[in-house]
Amino acid sequence: MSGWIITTLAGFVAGIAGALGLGGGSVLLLYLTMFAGVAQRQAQGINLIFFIPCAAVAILMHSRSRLICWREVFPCAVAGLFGSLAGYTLSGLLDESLLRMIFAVFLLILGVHELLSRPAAH
Amino acid sequence: MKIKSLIGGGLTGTVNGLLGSGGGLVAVPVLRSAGLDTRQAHSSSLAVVLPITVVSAALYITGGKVSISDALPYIPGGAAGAVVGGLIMTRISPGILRKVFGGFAIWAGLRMLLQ
Repeated sequence: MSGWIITTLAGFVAGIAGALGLGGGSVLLLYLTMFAGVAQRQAQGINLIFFIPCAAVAILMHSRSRLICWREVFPCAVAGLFGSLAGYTLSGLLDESLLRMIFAVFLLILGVHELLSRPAAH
Repeated sequence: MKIKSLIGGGLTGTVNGLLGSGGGLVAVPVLRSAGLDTRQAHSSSLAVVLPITVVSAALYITGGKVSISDALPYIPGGAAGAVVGGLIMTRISPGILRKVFGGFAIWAGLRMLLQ
């Protein structure tokens, strides 16, 4: 019975992080794989499905706060769709562990850059 | 300017398609380089990543890796969290948001390296 409290709490924290655009779905993925004992692939799938209603709610709210720049969003989103199909197609052909490493390094560089950003340098 | 958005968006989607996640982390800097401020970039990144995620989720479901009922327990809390996140977004300082985002990116990068 206490199960639903935990899953609701995990979803709640993940929902906040997602709505703030903190990306990667790290919160829920981590909870699923480390505490709920869910296999990696299924956890990724849960995370993807979970994101859809949460993002929809968040987009609604951000849109009412006039924080969404649709003119920039559209080309990115359309290109993103093509990209994701391409990526999915390529995913069997390329060395995934090498890609992960490259992307991980990019994330570390990005993360450090953001952490060290000065308020004045907007 | 438009070219950057297309390339950036394509990268976002490719990363998502190849690795299963991380597209949002790419979308934020892409949008900022397109001229958006921090809060706009974070908010708009969700709209960029959403259609990609719908496609990816559909692929996962039809591929038998997951079912919608697997995710249901988390969604009520997630929707509530999204509302709270939406409220926070209008009040959080861009500087803090950037730093928290930086922390998340580092954490995601480390996790990926150690996987």
